[in-house]
Amino acid sequence: MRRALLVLALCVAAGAAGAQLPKSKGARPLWAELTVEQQHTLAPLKADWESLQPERRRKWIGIAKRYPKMKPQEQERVQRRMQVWAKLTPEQRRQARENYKRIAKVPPGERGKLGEQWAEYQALPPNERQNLAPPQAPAKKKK
Amino acid sequence: MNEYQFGDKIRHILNQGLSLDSRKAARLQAARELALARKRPEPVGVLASAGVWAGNMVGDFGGWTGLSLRLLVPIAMLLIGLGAIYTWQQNQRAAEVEEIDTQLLTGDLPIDAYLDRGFQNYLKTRAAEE
Repeated sequence: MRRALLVLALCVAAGAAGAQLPKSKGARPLWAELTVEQQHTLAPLKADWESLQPERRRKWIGIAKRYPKMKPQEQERVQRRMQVWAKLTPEQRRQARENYKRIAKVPPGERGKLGEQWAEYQALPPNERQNLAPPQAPAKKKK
Repeated sequence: MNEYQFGDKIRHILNQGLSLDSRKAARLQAARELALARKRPEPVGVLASAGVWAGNMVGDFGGWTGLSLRLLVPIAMLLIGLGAIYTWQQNQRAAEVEEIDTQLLTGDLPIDAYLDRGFQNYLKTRAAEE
């Protein structure tokens, strides 16, 4: 009896842990369960929605909720970038977030110049740009 | 009278023979039996002593039912607590990711800029120059 209780407790704990594992099949909410407004905002993601894992779906719904409060220019950027962003590999997204966090540390006055600096960088001759990003050493040797 | 002398005196009396009346003998007998009955059995070997220890523990907790409650309730509370912390952390992380992604999607710089190693190095060089 006591052992049964203990086993039951352990099963409940294991079940709770297992429930946290990511699973995209049968994940909610389905595209059809979104509000019309959310569907309209997230339209660029419609084709990929069913392959998104639950936490990513929740994140996009969160962004869709912020959408009405954005400036028109920001809304236009979101529409344009949404698909590109969703198509990146998890590693690329992680890298972009990390770089964003570092860049976001610069003082607000400097941040305004970032667009300018991006334009300057793109105007550099190709060989100069290549010098700034030397090919990375092969990370792993093939076994 | 020191201890040695006292012991010597008792030995002397005992050597003379102990004469007790039947009442005193009966009282001594009863006291001995009572003491023996109260004495715990000697633990024999590791397993036996572990059994005695477990028995004492169970006894202290008020039997097996008490043990289940006193052990399972804290375990259950610990699990619930850990689950709550885990959920809170996940939520914090999700909120952070949502915030960063919103900034990335709406910001002045295109997403390519955050993925371009050359641009990251360009910014570092510029910052070092200033």
